[in-house]
Amino acid sequence: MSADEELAIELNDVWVQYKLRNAHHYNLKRTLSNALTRRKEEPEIITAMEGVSLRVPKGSRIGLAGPNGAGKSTMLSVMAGVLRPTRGTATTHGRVLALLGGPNEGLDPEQTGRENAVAIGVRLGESVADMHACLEEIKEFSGLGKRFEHPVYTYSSGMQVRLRFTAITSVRADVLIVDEGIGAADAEFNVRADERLAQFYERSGTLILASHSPEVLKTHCTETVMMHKGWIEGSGHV
Amino acid sequence: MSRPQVWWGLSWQAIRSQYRRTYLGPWWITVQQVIFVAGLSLLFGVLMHQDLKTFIPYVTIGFIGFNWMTSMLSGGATSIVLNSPSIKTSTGPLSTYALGNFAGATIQFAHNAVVIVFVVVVFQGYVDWTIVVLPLALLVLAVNGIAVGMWLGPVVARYRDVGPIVTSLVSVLFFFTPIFWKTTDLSNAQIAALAGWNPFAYLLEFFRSPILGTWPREIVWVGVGLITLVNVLAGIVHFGRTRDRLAYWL
Repeated sequence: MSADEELAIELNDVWVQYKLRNAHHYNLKRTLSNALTRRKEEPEIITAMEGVSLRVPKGSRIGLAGPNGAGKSTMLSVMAGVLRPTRGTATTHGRVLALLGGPNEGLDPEQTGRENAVAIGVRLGESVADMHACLEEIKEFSGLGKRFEHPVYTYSSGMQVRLRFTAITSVRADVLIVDEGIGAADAEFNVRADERLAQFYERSGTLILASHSPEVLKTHCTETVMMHKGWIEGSGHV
Repeated sequence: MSRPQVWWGLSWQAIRSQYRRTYLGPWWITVQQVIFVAGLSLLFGVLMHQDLKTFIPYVTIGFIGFNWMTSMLSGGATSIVLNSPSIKTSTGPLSTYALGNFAGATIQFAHNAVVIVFVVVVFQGYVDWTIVVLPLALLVLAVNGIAVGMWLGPVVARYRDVGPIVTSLVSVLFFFTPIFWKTTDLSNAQIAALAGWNPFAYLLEFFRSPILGTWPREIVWVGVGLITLVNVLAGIVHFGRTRDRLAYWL
């Protein structure tokens, strides 16, 4: 990656350290006794990222690989701006869409498919107007038909997956940060979903994708960054 | 300020979801309030030999205003901890959570405000020129509601014991705030002991007296000014200082 290329993400000597407080740190008797005897119990420090520097030029398609606990998810959180580095700096340019898992993109069972599609997009940073503009396309691609206007608690699990997947992949971003890919998990839907996912990744200027699956990384990325115990062990073409 | 379509829109949607599959929808908030306020006004009005024509508006406005403030306080206290999964995975500004809490409490208050209008029309029959203070009072309560979430949310995320302390205080404050009793019935020493220390007493009088046709007392103006200043400064300073560390505490 040459120095004069326009950058999408820049990490400079990024450290992420958590203070691990165990149950005894919250023990009132022990806290009072420590205060009286002026004894200090420092919390254990967990280092999740250890002086990581990385420059990601615009248009890159980078796969993050490495075993569990290597720091992939932490690095994605730092790139997305969810986690501020304890030390060092992290800069991301452009509109970021981070799919880091969690209930963030969950569905509200009481709302209709249409309302949920808008809510998913808005939570991910899209405007209400932009989400309204692509609602008919979401309805058509998800194959929900009339059920799009029904509350989600009446949906089968497959229908819920189709709605969630289609709504998420309608959102646009300059930098797309994805942890472990986006599941479609519906046999009938899978072929079309794979095509749409590829288009979704293509459409975003820059892609950072963490996955345990070499197949997923091979399909969507051009470079791989290998992580191990909080630092970058190596990188190269897929 | 983060995008209103996120914090206002999603809070509104959450309330609508809560009351979906009911005939009254969010108007259940209003009905619940009417039932409680009617019971409270009648019980204490009779017990304390009050004129119900003036006592019912007094209690109704006081209780609804107090509810708005305490729901912003209690919700603000848990706004970070309860949204921890979202904070750890989404890129939106953290102020969204304090603002979302404010929005939820205010939407409920707006439904309850209908009861205030009804009671004032039926029992009081007029509004005085003092009503000009009301927009300022609403603004002051709203600003304080947002500010308290900005500093208390991070405090509770860092020191989890503060959450139960807030819950305990709120239930006691109901009795120490002039909702179903009047400061005019007490001596200065009694007022100081019972409500002089209580920020809710000042804020509530500032909100209630313009509707009842009374200009807020000087001490109330001073108290409200000081409370708002301290609260807003605490919100800006503490939120600014802890924002970068919040995700580590969850």
